[in-house]
Amino acid sequence: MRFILKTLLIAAAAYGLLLFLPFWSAALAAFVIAAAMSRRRRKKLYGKSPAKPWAFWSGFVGVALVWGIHAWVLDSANASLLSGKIAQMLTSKASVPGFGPAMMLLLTTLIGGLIGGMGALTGNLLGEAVRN
Amino acid sequence: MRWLKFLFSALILGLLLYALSSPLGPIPFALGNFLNPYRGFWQNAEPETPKDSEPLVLEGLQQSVEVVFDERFVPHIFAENEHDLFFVQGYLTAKDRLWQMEFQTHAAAGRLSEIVGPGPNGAVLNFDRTMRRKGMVYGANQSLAGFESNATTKLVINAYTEGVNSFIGSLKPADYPLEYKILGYKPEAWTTLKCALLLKYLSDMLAGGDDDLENTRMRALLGQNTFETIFPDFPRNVPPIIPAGTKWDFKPAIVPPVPANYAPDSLLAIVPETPRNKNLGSNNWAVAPSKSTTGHAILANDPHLSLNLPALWYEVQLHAPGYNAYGVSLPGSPCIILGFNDSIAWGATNGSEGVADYYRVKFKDASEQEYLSPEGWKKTTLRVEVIGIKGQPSMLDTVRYTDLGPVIYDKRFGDQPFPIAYQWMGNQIGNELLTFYSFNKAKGYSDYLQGLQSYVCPAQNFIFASTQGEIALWHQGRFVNYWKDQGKYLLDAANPEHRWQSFTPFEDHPHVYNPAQGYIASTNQQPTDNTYPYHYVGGYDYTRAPRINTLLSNSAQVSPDMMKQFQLDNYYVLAEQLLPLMLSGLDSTRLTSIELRARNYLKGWNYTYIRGAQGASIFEKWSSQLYEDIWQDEFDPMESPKMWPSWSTTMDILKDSIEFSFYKNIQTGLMTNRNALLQQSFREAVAALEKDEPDPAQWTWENSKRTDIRHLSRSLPAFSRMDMHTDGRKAVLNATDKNWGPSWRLVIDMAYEPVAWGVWPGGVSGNPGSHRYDSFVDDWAAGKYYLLWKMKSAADKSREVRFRQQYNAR
Repeated sequence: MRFILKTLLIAAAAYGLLLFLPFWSAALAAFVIAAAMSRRRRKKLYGKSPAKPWAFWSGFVGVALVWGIHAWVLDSANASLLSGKIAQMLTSKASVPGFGPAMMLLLTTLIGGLIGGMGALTGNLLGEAVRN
Repeated sequence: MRWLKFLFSALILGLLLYALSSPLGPIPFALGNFLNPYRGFWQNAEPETPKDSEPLVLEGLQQSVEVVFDERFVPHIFAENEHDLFFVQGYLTAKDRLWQMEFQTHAAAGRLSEIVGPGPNGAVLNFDRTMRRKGMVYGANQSLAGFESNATTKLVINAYTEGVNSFIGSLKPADYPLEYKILGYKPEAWTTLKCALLLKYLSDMLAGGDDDLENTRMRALLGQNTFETIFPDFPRNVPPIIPAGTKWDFKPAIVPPVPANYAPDSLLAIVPETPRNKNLGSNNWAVAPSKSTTGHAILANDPHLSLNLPALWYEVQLHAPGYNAYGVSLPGSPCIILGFNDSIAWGATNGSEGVADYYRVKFKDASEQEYLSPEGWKKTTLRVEVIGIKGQPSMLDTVRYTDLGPVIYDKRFGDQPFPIAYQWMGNQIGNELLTFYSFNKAKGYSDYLQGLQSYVCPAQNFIFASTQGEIALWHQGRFVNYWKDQGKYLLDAANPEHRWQSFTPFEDHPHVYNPAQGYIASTNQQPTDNTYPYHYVGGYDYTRAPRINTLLSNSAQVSPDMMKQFQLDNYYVLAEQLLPLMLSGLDSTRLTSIELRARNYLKGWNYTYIRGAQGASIFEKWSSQLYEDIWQDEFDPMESPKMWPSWSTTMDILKDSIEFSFYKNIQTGLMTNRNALLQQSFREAVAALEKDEPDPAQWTWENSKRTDIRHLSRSLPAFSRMDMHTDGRKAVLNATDKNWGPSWRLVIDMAYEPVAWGVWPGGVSGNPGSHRYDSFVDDWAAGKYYLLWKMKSAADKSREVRFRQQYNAR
């Protein structure tokens, strides 16, 4: 539940900031939310805590959603005209078969996810460091 | 430990963000910015079906303006006053074409290196320097002074500029046109100077540079006699624009005699190659009511220019009280440039004479502060050109100006030991904008005449037809009253007789009104026959003029549909005149089976360059091989700048001479005659064709020539339309070549309410992410026309409307 809440909060914050700020604001949103929602790590009995990868994935999914859905909405209204041309432009030096609009959407989603994920992970680690 | 983890993670995050915000490797943009769907390229993915939008308030408008977008999304602007009309023309043009407007004016001003870098081998930087050294910005300032000296055109460019800036001011980074995002820069404010620069850009394309230095070198190398034989001033047997025998209705001014001890300069200038496209061309013709099936005058125009996306032209209707014009405009310039209104239609073809001259300059000393003029030593004006280069420090170039114009070549540019100054008609003050404005509003022939007066450069053949049934043509520009051969070779800045002494009076410019033959046709051929009292030299058409004159004189009555067929005509006069002679030179007993097949294709060919014609490809290959076999051995080893003989001259020589000194191969020393040359070049041509494709049935014209409509940057195939299958060739009426072709086709029947058809190879929008980017291209390539809709008012319901947009004053 907490993971879903965090993911949605990151998505909402990222969306709000992206309307006014450049792409890195998505990382900022994930960072702030993750830091604010981080918790003091419980004493481990043994082995490593399973919490850390979740911190990354909430940011990843949150921002990937906000990037992927928006790109997808624009792309469908445009009938994938531009994404096809951009895909062709990016692969003009070395032809990559099958690199088309779908790959542009995937690439956009992944890059968004990566920005959000790293932002959230870093925010979480900061929160943990401060609280411990 | 936890802090360490945090710092490590923060470092990775920092690196990631840094990588995403900087251009990586060969990609000029930052991936994070570019892919961000809230600001990057996705924002330029325009919805396929635009929606009606709310009225928009535009600061600066005086009253409300309504814009109606027709079924092809062509805007029809309805304003209550002319200020608002041009304001909204600027606003809408910028909305659709901002990047193109800025790119072309940057090109004119020699500022391309600023946005794309110096280019491979410094090609872009060299282009920028050439533009600076031609004095393009100086010339644009001269033009602007001309526009501003007239209250009307001053209002027009100011309003247009306000409109463009109103649009630029509304832009957030997310809204920047795609090319800005790819190249990573921002639009700057528009200025009235940029309007002038845009027109200067076209002027330079049509009338910039000249062959003076090439002529000088060729004459010096070949000797006067040979030079005159292989570079005659005019092609033979071409009907001039003003029908031969037309009586001149003026008393000519005194034409200056050739100076007593004149001898052409023989300087072998070493200047950088400045490739000028000599295939530039255009068609326009008109028939009188007596020769038309409709009983009205009919006019046709198609300017042949560089084929690009975004397209050169922007189709629009401009409507305000006292103003109702329709046609194509140039993004960056107000008014309709080619089109029609309720009373008249006009079109243009390039005038094609040389209007630039080069002068040898003598500086007093190495400081270059004084040069020798006819009045003694005079001060030069210094202009230091600062050329910005993306990713590198700026380059400074010192350019000296004489009273003739800038020193274009010297030891700093072109490695030229003798400084050479450039005097260009395009740097003279006139008011071309007033001409177009007057045409837009003209009610008849006298308004058209009035409008022509202020026109200076580039010289054009302005054709005219009216609803009154008149047809006319004026060859208009500003022309020097030259002595014979003045301006053909390099001149001397210190010699008073070498200077421009006077201009020919407007009334004396070649013109014709309602000629007895019932038609007028111009295809960039020479304007007059040899009864014209003034001297001029230029590069003139010799293939399209004979063809259109044949078509028009052979038709008793011409219909609008026939006018369209003429524009799409692919018949090549040169092939008609030359191929029978070429075939007669072949000895069929010495031909192989594939050569016989090739010959049979040629024998069955009707001289038309249509897609499926094998004959066209074979003739093309054979004739170019023949040309090479005659000239290449002599001309290849010559140093630049050089000129090659025209096809017209080559054909005349082949027709006239079985033996000719240039037939000899100077490398092998073998003397050869015409038939041997024909046989040899045919063999080579067939072998070359066979090497690429063994089956002669596949040697169709569309497999030899494809048309590429390239993105203006010339480096983005994804935004271009490549490999298009088209009929035609340069030098036929349908001059659709690889990168050049008919950029706007108009046919108009001048009925009481004119009926017009038109098409152009582009689309309304300059955004590659828009479905309106290239929406006319396929119909253009297929030779289709659209019935144009000049709306009577914004409420005109006679045809379908896509959507409307209202702009309100604050």
